[in-house]
Amino acid sequence: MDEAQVQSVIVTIDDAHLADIQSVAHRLGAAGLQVSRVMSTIGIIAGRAPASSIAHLKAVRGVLEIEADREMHAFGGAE
Amino acid sequence: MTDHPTFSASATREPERTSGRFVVTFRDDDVAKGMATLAKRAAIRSLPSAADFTDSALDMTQLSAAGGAVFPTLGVAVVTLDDDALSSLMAAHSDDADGAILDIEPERMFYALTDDAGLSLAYLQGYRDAADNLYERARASVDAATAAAASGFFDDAQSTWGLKATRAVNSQRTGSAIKLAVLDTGFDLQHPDFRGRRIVTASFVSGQTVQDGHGHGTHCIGTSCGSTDGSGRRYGVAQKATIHAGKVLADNGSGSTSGILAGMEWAINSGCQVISMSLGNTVSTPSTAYEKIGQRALQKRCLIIAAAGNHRPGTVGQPANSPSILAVGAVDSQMRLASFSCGSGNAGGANVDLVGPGVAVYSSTKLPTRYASWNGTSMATPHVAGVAALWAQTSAANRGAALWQLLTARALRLPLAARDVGVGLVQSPPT
Repeated sequence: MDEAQVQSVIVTIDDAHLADIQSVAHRLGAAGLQVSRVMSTIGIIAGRAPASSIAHLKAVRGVLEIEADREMHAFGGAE
Repeated sequence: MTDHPTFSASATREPERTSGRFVVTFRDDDVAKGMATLAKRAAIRSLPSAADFTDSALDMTQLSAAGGAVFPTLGVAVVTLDDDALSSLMAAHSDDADGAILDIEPERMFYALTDDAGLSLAYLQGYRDAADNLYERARASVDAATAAAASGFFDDAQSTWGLKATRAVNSQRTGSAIKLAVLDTGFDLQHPDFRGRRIVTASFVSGQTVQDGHGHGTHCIGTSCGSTDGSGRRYGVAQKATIHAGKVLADNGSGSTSGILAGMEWAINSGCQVISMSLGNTVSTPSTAYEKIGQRALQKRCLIIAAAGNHRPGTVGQPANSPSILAVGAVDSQMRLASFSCGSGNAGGANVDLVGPGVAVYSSTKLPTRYASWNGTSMATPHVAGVAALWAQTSAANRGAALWQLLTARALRLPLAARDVGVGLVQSPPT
């Protein structure tokens, strides 16, 4: 497990902690997440973390799921 | 009073037996067939018809004198039956469940309305005629749409085929006062067709402004919120919606999920009632993040609409495969499934919900090209988003899950597999 292998992740906050998303962000930060954006309306925290810390981050109170920040593409174009 | 039955029919039949008149309801309003049965079984050969009286105003005295009457509009006859005739008719009714007689009731049912509620037969007939008229108009509208769908749609000088297929050209609604977000490659703010339009913008792509360097975002905004081109051909559905152009895809047409989510957060916080996302990936399992966001958006009365994907035979990708996000497939102008349009996946909720016009879709694009006809579930999605804005304008109650329900309930059924087209083709409000 390479500690240097940092990846962008999307953290989904569970419903019970939506109102307290800033506290969850702090706990995630303490657990190794480099928080880049806290989105309180949709209950999402975006950030970067070493691949090796993902399991640890998932155990943070208030976290529902952690997923890779996937790339998306436009679904249309010229005939 | 336990010795009296509590249901009304028996209790009220007693006084009616002396008058001996009955209301006979014909199946499927088939008066000719019903009258034939009356003739055969009850020897009733001629009855005055309400249709022969001025304004159908047959009064009760005339009805009494003639021993009954037939009401063609109501699909009923009021007839005098002696015990033998009644028995014969009842036997015919019970012997043949699909016969011409739907029901036989004591006449009292009729009088109850006439006397107690003060409603004349003429009034009731007028009511029935009005209801019939509404029904016929609704059916004619659906029939017209179905017939038109069967013969296909075409771009002409007035409008694109997609606006005809979605019946946007038939609706008076404009999406006025509705905020519609298009999260895409941004928007060409210099496009002449949008001069004077209120456009709220934000970029979530680092190092790039909202200015559309790709064309895709301008095309999608044109379909959902645009109006007419320089020659007067209309290509936009919700012509007066407030445009929220969020750039979440870079000028190369791709973007990170974190930027897309930031755009969704912005759109919801901005009060957008509809979010259109002509983007995605090919991952067939739903994402927890998008699903949760879809749910939270619906709770905030915002509907998220996303493209099913163009990677057929692959199935609906993220984010459209989230159960809480409306997934849009594509059909062509002849109402055939677009060859690229993804079908429903096996994961719960990973199905195509409905379809929109997505082949040879003419719309605005970035300058200097200005206009282009493109293909994709990307093109179908803003049709649905625009129509959603039209429906949202019809009532403040039409938001979130209610708006979703309305879109799917009013869709035009297509003779195509549900796993590919969901409930069918999105349709605009009829007025």
